[in-house]
Amino acid sequence: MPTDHWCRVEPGKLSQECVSGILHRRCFRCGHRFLPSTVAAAAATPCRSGRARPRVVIGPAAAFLVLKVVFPNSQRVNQVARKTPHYQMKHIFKIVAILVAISSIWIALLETSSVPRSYTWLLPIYLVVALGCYGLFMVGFGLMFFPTCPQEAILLQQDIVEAKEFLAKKGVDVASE
Amino acid sequence: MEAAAGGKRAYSIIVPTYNERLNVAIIVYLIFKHLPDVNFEIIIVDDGSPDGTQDIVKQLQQVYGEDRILLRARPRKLGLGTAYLHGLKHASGEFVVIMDADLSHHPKYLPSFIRKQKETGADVVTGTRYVKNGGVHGWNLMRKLTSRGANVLAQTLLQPGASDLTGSFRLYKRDVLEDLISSCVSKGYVFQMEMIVRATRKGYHIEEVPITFVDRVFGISKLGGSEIVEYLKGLVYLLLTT
Repeated sequence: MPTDHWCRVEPGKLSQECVSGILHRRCFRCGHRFLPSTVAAAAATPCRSGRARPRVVIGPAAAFLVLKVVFPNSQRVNQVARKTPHYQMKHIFKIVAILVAISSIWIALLETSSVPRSYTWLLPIYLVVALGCYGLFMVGFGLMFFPTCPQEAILLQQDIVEAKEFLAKKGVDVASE
Repeated sequence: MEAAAGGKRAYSIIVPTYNERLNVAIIVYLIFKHLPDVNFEIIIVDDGSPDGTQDIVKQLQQVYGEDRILLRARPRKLGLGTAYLHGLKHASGEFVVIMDADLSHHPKYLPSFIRKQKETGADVVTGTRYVKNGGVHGWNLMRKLTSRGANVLAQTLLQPGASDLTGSFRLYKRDVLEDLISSCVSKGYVFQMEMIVRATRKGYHIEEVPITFVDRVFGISKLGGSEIVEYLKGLVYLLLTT
C-alpha cells in the first residue's frame, strides 16, 4: 500500500515524483494531503526544484472562467425580449466576481515572485488610485462640457405668454398666484 | 394611425400635480399644441392641492373636452409611485408618458419620444439631459457638480442602460410600466433611478432622447446634505438588490 498519495496533476506518479517545492503536508502541485505516516518523510525531503507552482496558472484561469460565465457574449435580441426567462444574476454578484478575479490574479502574482514583492503588495492601492483618478477625470470632463441651454428659458417664457393669451380668451383663469 | 376605437387611446400622459395652478394650464395648452394629430389623453393626478389646481383643470376640461383631460384627484400627498399607479388605473392608452407639471419638462419633446419609440420599438424611451442636444438651464456650478458626480458614481456601480437616471420624462409601454412599478419600492427620485435600473436588469429595450430641462425653482436649495445621503443610500440599495 503506497504511503504517499497520488498526484492529481500527473496521474500515475507518486507525489514524491512531482517536481515542485518542498513536500509539505500538502503537495504544492496538487494539494493532496499526506497520510500522517509520511509527514516525517515528506518534511525530510529537500526541495528538488524551484519550478513555478501551478496555482499561478489556476488563479488567472479561474479568473478567466469566472468572467466568461459572468459576462457571456450576449447579443441584443431584436425581438421584444421582455423579462429574462431565466434567473437574472444580481449586479452585485458580477462586481464581486470581478473583485475575486482581480484578487486571484494578485495572489497569483504574489506567489510567483517574478515581480518584486514590494511592488506586488502595493498593486491594489495603485488600482484604487487609478480608479479614483478615472472618476475625477470623468467628473471634471463632464463638468467642463455640461450641456446648457440658456435659449430654452427664453423660449419657455414666450410659450408661457402665448399660452396665457390663448387660455384667457377661452375663459381659463390664468392669473399668477 | 391612431384610430380611436371606442374611446381607446394610443397615448396616456400622466401628470402628477401639487400646487401647480398656473403651470398645469400652460402644460395642457402646450401638449395640445405639439401633438395635433395624435390620439392621446392627459391624466392629471392631483394630490389635494390647496391652491385650487383642480378648479383650473375643470376649466380646462370645458375647453378641451372631458374625454381628453381626465382629472383623477387624491385626498392628499401620497407619493409619486402611487400617483403613477393611480393614473395607470384610469389610463386607456397603449403607451404611457410621465412628466413633471412644473414646466421643467417641455411638451415639445413629446413628438420625438413618440417617433423614437416607433422607429426602434423600444419598451422604454427616456429623456436625457446630459447629451449634446439636451441641456440644463438654471443650475449653478455646485448643482452641476453634484449631478455629474452622482451620475459618474451611478454609471460605474450600476451600469444602467441610460445616461440620465434621475430624469422623470419618460415614455413606457403600458404593461412595462405596470411591471416596473410593482417591483419598485423606493421613494422620490431614487424611485426614478430604480425604475430604469430594473428595466435594464429585466432586459427591456431602452432608448434615449435628448431633452432640455429648465429649472424654474430658482433660489430654493433642492440639494442639501440629506438629499446626498438619501441618494447614496438609494445607490447602495440598488447595488445590492438589482
